[in-house]
Amino acid sequence: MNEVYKIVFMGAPGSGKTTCIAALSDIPPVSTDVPCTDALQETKDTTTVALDYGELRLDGDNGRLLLYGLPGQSRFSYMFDVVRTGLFGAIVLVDASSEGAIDGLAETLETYREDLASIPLVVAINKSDGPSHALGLRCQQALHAHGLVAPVTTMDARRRDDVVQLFEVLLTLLEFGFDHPGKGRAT
Amino acid sequence: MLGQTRSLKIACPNFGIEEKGALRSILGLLEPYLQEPWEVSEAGPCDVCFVNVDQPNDAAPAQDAASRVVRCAQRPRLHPQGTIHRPLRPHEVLAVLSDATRQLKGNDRDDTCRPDGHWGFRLRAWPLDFIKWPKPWWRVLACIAREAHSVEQIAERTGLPAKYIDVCMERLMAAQLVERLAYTSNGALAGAGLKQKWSALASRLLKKFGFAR
Repeated sequence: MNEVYKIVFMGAPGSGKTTCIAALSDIPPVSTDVPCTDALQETKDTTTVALDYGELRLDGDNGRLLLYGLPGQSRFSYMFDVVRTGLFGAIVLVDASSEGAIDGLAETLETYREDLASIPLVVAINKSDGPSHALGLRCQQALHAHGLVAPVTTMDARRRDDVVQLFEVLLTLLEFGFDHPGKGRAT
Repeated sequence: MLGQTRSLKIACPNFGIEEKGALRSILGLLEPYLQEPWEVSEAGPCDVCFVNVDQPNDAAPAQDAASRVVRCAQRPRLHPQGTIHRPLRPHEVLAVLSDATRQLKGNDRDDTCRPDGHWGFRLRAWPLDFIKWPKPWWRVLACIAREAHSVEQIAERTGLPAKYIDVCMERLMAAQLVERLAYTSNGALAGAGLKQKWSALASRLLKKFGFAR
């Protein structure tokens, strides 16, 4: 057997997609980072212009879990076509240190609502000093505004345990909340 | 409103003091979800009468002819349809009192509602602190995140005991994170094959990450 599954990490620039994939991948992550030349220079040295890619090999056979990192902005929506087939979950990252954190989340939800409604979805707040109740509530409001119900949690993308915990939540959703990921419709 | 200034009354004449106290606590918990205020009545006419059928030798409760009688038993399945659990469960009490309210209002036209109090529950939002909740409760949350399911369906899908699910539901209701809907069975639970496939994948991944299942 050579089963292939896909999970996508989405979010605004600097939200931690590349870091999450690097924390999990069994292969050196493929990244399309380039030096920043715009306002992002003030917050980070490089940014992803296309997608990140990593792989997890599943035990017992030749199965693989493919990890993709995609920008959340609407202008990159065509890239979702690359990952849609076989996708069984999405983790949307929110950069708590960014002033535009909720705007970025809202844009991602607006752009990908139909896809995100049909697969297990987790919203992960990254770069937070600690549990952020207020930001969590605003994330939930953004989800509600788009007719989505999804867990919102705080994490540190640099810590592998935190990323693994996201997986645990995502897998719980898959196992107990979805019959046919990718075929459902928004409520 | 029913045009009444008084609370609607529940008589439970052959219930113990502790069970009456528990019912009062449940009523407090359910207050935001009930259209009318309800209270446990010790005497006088009542709108709903809970009868403990596990104590058949007790004196038959005196009741208003118009009041609705609800049988309560430790094993409801051994009794006629409509019998609810003892100890009382919040979701069943909610269903019974909501039905009774509709009847009292003369507005019992919701034919999707089962008279025996079967209701579905759907999550409005995940608790922000769900990560600290017992992990088996994550299954409950996942199960009702997209579709409404009855407690029995949740138990079937998650493999958790109904009593355990009730406790989770109580906490969700207290936080107003769950909505109750008239439940109509659609047989939409996943087939065993599909569930096994995802369970197997989850087990393989969690094993890889060092989590035992």
